[in-house]
Amino acid sequence: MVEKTIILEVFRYHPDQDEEPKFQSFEVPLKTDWVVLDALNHIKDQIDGTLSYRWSCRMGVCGSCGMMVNGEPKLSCAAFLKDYGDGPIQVKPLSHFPVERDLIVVLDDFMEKLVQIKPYIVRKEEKSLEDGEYRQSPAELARFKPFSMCINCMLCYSACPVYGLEPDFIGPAALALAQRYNLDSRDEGREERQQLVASSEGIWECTFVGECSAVCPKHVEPASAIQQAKVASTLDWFKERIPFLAPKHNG
Amino acid sequence: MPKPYKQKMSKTWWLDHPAYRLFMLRELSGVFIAVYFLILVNIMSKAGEPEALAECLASLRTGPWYLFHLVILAFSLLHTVTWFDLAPKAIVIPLGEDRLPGIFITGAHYVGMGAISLAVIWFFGVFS
Repeated sequence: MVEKTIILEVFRYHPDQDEEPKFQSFEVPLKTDWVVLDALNHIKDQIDGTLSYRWSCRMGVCGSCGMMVNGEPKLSCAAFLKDYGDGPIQVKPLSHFPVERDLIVVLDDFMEKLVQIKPYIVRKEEKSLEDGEYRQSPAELARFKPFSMCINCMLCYSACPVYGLEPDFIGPAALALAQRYNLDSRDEGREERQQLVASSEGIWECTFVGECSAVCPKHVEPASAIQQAKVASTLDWFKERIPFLAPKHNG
Repeated sequence: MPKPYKQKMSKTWWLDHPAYRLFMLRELSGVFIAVYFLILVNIMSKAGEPEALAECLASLRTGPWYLFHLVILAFSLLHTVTWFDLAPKAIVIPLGEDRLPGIFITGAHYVGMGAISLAVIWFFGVFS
């Protein structure tokens, strides 16, 4: 019995050898339980050991294996070969990022933006140890929990045409993370984050295409985070102009 | 020093995916609604001059204008349906550990639109 196979057309680029990238075709076994990551591992083990790509947990929690599969940003560990018919399956590195080599992209821009939005609890005044822990009810947790589920896989950045056109855009994941902290009842850092979040590179660059939420493997809904931030920022703008509603600023 | 390859974004990126195409149509709908607003302003500017108003309305009751109005109507419907559908993404009403289901937010928009439309029609004496 001849084993069924499928063709993968994989983006290849070697920074020291190639001026332009090219596609290389590989024939891999078409097993019903195989994902694109299994196919890539098969290629690397059996056919071409120079193929380079990121992966780790192979179960959709680490965020390492993001790539474009037939033009869609996907985790290669979550894209089943059997869902692509007879193939061929085109595998490319994540869109909108520079390519280091083959399927590996340069993450620096994303990493910097994550740090810039201050992804940690910011307090105006820390509680002393004697005062005990910061208590949080299940309802308070539920307000921001979906936004905390991000695995930093960057599929949303590849899906976002605004990020592709405007590399300064802070982007869906970073803004969702900022909203995660802004909505956390223990946090008091919203004002500090606003400078970046409510800037022209922040939420206001977003035109609500919505594809970031559509491709997110963890149902974080970054588009929702951004629109909620827009509503909150707009209400701030009005409140500041109505004397008795204006927030009191400390110092 | 290795040089990363800078991926280029296609100039027709908005044609490449159904979600992007729908997004562009949604954005375009705003333009048609703005044009309709100008048509209405033009009609209203002739409110005090019965002859000019009659002439304006008569010219709008011709084939090409009917067609254009159908196009405007189609885009207005697209605009309404897409944005009302998206409203729950921006308006989150927490209910304990859950939230108010999106259908109520979207529904409230349609109810509001209906109520305002009825109020406008009543105000302009259509029911009298």
